Amino acid sequence: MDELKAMLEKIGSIGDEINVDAVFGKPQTVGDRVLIPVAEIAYGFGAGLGTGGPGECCCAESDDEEACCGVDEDETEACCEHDEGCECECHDEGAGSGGGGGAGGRARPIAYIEVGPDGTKVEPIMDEQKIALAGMLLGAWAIAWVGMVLVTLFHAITGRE
Amino acid sequence: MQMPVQKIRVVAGTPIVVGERRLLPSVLVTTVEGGNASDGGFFRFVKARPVSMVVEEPDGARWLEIPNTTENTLSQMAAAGAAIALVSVLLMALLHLVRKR
Repeated sequence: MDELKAMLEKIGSIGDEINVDAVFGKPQTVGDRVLIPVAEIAYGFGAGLGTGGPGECCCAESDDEEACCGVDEDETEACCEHDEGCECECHDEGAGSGGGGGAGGRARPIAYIEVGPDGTKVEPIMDEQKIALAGMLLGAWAIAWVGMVLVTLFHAITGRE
Repeated sequence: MQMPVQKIRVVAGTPIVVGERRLLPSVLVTTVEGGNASDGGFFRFVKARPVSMVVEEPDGARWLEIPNTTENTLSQMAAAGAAIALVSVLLMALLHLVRKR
């Protein structure tokens, strides 16, 4: 279990090693210009582990129906230290441990830097698919609101008549 | 369980040399992390967004902003959506008022 925890702590420290080089790509020469790709990166991960169902120890004389049971072995054994013939039995059934984790990441180009004879400039890259989807949503949103206003207007007019 | 903690910092990148020009990039790094490995679980989310670049040229240094056009456009669309909703609500309230009179 300690090894597993140490491994998780190591995974957790990966984020500290993030560097800017992941955002600014390798310069590419195209003709007399140099292009540097620029991206937005995001990543995340999570992990968890746990143990459950610790084994139970029961101490009792063989003919004694009242057994002294507990999770802590030493504590349980102490309850019959003055009784001779008292026997302890420990069960590990049900005890177990498990762990799991997941990770994901994405990189999206947002611009490129062009270094040429006429200077250095930033050319943004637009995510047209995202904009188109948002535009459709905005259109539907606007139609819904205009519709509600028209219905209210209609009721206002017919209510007067 | 440790509460999630958000950290925002600007990190200077490795200078990129292109001919006589030297480019100094900077990145905005947002980190959200929670939990603890020794407590049984943790998570971490990291987002790195380029902010600007300082271009050092023979005739002086220039600061170039790196805009996130997509995010800016989406923000403007969200603002337009909110404005449409607000105007519509005001119009409907006005119409209700007129109807009552």
